[in-house]
Amino acid sequence: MSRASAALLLLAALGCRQQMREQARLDPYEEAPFFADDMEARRLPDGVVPRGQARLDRHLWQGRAADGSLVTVYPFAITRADLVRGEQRYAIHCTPCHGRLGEGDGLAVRRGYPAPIAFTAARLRDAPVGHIFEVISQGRATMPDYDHLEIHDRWRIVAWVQVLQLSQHAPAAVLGADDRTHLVEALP
Amino acid sequence: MAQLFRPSADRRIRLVLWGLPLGLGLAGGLGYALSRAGWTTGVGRSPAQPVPFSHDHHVGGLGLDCRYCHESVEIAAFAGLPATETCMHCHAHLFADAPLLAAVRDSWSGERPIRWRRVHDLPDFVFFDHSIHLHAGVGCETCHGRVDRMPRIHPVADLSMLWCIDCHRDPAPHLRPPADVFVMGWRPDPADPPAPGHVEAHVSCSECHR
Repeated sequence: MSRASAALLLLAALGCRQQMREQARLDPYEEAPFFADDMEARRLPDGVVPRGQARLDRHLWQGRAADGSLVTVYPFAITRADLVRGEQRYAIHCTPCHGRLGEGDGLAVRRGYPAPIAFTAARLRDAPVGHIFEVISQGRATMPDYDHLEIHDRWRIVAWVQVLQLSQHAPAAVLGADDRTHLVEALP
Repeated sequence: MAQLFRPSADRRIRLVLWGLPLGLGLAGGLGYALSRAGWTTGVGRSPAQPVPFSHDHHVGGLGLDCRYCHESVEIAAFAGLPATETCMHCHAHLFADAPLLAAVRDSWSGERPIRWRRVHDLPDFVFFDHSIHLHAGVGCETCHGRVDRMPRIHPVADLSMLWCIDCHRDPAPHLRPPADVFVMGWRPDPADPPAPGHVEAHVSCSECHR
């Protein structure tokens, strides 16, 4: 065998390795020269609704009733598991600004981000759940929208916000006997 | 009959006999060391990025949860890379004019993605899934190290097949309770070690190669 064909074989062998390592498919978010915008992650063409994702349920998707008013009830029953999940998602996405207790003193705020109002403000305590949902989904004033969060998770966060409101602003009458005893003992 | 070999030939033959295995061994050793070194595997190396993003500041300093940015890590193979919008959640107001963040603002106003350079890049013949590892109790830190102390992200593991298999053969010592998967610097409490989770160790070829 000639030296030239041996060299060719060697080159071909190297080529094989490269093709297996870098195959003719795209990794997520890889550059894709095939498309004009060079993006692997394609956007949906305008007006396309993915199958099964038509957002027809206004209560669930917009927090609004058929007459357009903000809803006062959740679109699904909130269980203990939903609250646990809501607490977790709140911790991930909301604490940087709102803080663990919703006082509006998160770390980003301490670094200079415009402070949000506390969840215990009367305006928010009286707000229908649809309002809290809408603010999460659309943003408000300096708060960006969080509509990339899964829709049920958004409602679970609303539920956790209500937990924070109630836990810091509950009338003594709604407390159980044990808690009321603790409260009386703690009073000066 | 004249001597075919001069007296020095003995020396040369000995030199070759000893030198050949020694040289081959050395070359092999050097090759092996090189193949494991960070210079080849990329361990400890941070490529230049369009924005000098610091996990040390955002995770270690501010305490952001991994999932604030890596949203799909619990539900998908790909952990998810934050959209420029996620950066702008804060940086529309904080360091809004910082020259360091010019690339972020350009991306935001021009609707062009930031061209981050991939730091953890598996060969295309490996199919890795983040979500299943998290649900099995593998912490982020287990593979990615103390990300909260990295001003520039860099790999701490060589992502070699040997490294994967080592854990797959005996995962138990590398697992955590589900609640601690996203915690940086987690160590089992020696007084109250977590109950060993039951995870089936998969080591068949087709588990990762298709």
